[in-house]
Amino acid sequence: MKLREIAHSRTGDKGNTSNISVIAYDARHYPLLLAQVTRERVKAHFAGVVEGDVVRYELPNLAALNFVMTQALGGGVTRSLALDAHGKSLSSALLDLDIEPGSDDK
Amino acid sequence: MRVCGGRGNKRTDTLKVSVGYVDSYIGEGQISYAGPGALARGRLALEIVRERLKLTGVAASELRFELVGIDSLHGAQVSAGANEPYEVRVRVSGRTENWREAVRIGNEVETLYTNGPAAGGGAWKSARDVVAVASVLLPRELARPQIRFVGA
Repeated sequence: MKLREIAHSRTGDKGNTSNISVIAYDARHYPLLLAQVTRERVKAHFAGVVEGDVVRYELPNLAALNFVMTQALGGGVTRSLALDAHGKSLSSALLDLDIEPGSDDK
Repeated sequence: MRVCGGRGNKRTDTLKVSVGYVDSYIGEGQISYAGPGALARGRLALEIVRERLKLTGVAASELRFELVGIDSLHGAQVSAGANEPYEVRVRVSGRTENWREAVRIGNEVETLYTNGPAAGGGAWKSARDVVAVASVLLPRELARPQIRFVGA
């Protein structure tokens, strides 16, 4: 299944850094996020977009993850050549990630 | 209410200032293709503009070639699985040092009307300056606060 079936996402930006949250609709899916939405997978998923590091922050009380990605916005909002200079649409790209369902969700 | 243990540090010698400056210029052009083969004609159009910008020596420090509806938001790699659409919009943008060069980028897209793949429509172009913001620390004594009242 797709990540978007169990989580929603929002983005933020600061300079050339993009910030993407992944928030489980239901807290019981948080372990799936922890196990499968890894730093490495997110970095690979955004190949060609994110030139810098990806750091994952875990927020168990919110059943959410937060990814901070550097060199991700074509130089930053003020000078980017991109149509979506803020990277707001990146959240939808991340929600396209394939997730192996847990035993309860099959 | 009693408050105790209050303390502080010496004030800083500098103030944070966000400075706006003209960083560069951005030139841009767009044009649409529709119907059978729209995607192939869009890709061909991008290659023509890429080659023309090189041949005519347009001085750009950064260039973007994309198809709106295909790969403009997330780049070619992330968008690789996209299906063939009915229409595409070509978009070329580039960063230059001055206005004149920025205008030339949009011109090379507009010229696809008569020197590009069949049936390009709705060409559009722009050139603009980019005011970027840099944060710096300014020695405090250089900041002289003033208040000016302006009457209507």
